Amino acid sequence: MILQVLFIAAAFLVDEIIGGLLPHSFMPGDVVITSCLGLSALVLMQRKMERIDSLLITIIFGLLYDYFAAHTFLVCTIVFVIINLAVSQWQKHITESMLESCLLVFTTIFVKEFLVYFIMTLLSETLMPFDMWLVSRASLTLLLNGVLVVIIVWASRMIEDIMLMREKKIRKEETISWWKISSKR
Amino acid sequence: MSRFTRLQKLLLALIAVLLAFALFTNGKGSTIKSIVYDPLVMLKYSVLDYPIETLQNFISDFNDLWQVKQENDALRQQLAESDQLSAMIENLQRENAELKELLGTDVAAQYEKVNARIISRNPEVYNNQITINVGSADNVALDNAVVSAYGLVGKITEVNEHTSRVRLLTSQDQLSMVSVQIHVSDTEVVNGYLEQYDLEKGAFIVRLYTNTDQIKIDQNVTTSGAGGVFPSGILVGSVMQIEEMRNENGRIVYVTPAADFSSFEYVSVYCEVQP
Repeated sequence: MILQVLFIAAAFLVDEIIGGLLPHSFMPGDVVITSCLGLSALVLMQRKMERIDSLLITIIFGLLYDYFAAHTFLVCTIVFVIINLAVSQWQKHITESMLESCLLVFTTIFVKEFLVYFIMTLLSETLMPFDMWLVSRASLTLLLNGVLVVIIVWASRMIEDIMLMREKKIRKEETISWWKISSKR
Repeated sequence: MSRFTRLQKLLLALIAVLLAFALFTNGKGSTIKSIVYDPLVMLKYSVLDYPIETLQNFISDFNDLWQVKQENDALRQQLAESDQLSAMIENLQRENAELKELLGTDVAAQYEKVNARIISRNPEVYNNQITINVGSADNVALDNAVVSAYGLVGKITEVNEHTSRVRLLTSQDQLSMVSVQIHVSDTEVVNGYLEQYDLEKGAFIVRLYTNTDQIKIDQNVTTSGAGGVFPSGILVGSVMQIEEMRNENGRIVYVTPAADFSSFEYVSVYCEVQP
């Protein structure tokens, strides 16, 4: 669990670094590209966690992201929770192949961008029309993250392998005290 | 048997703490927010953003090195002229203050410019707010005007001890109304209200409640100082397009922003200094 949480935190940090390197503009209609590695890591790691654990971790990361990165009140938390609930339902119907993982993450990013746009429009924070949103926000963000998705899926698989190796090592070191086995008493 | 494991209880407790903290500090002017927010934003800026910016600036400075001499000559010329203009402005300010004193009117608060750097921005959400590295310790107060090198960019909406939040004029939440004046001649102005930013035209919408034919394209638009919130004379932009208002007496004027909102790193805050 700790390794998974650290991986998610590292992915959010990398997001901040990539965000600093990407060109940014304060003009509302200008093209904005955002890196979503943190959310991708969250979605991939939640598949290996208990449902309630993943929900709690999602809420914590949402609250932290809201306060320190987005400076909003509960907007990102709500978005992350909705995505967590949707993914937990959807993951029952997909396998863990590379292609499906990439598709899952890619779709999640699109849903997240749409949800943020929807909430901001509801709150009257933006009057951006849908077509402008598609062109200026969604398109290049999906393009960039489409490349990064492969890297994050590969990294998540490495983390899962490390966890599996650890479990195997623990099992290898386990010894059975045969006299404590209940059938032998 | 408890429904939650020990870890889950711990996570729930952490969520409760974070939520309470977010709720408590969501209001403006909270002392705890000032104590916690400032160092964390500064830490994030110094550990992440500043090194990246330094690297980017180094690369762009290296590329610009070839044009430095030409720019240097042009800037030297402008600097020489600015001394003259500065002297003229001081003289006019002095005369203005003397005349107001003679008339017995209250002398308007003077303003000092406090320079600041942007330390936090997140374009992912649409609220068009930035954080700068000056706060109440630097005499910054709520509703102070924030300008870039070219013109007005926004106003202060939240003040902590060492940082402040700025709402940009390009926000579409219609909370950035500014009293402006259009310079129709050297001695005449027409007053109006800058209401919001139009996404499709890429311009500010200014409403005038008078029917006047004096407004022309490319006339300068500055703050009028009405209401005592912003000082007068800060450049906002220039007239781009004029339209008649439907069902109302007046005009809608679209104003091209003077400030370059595509990118800026440094701003200045007009802080009030009481005489």
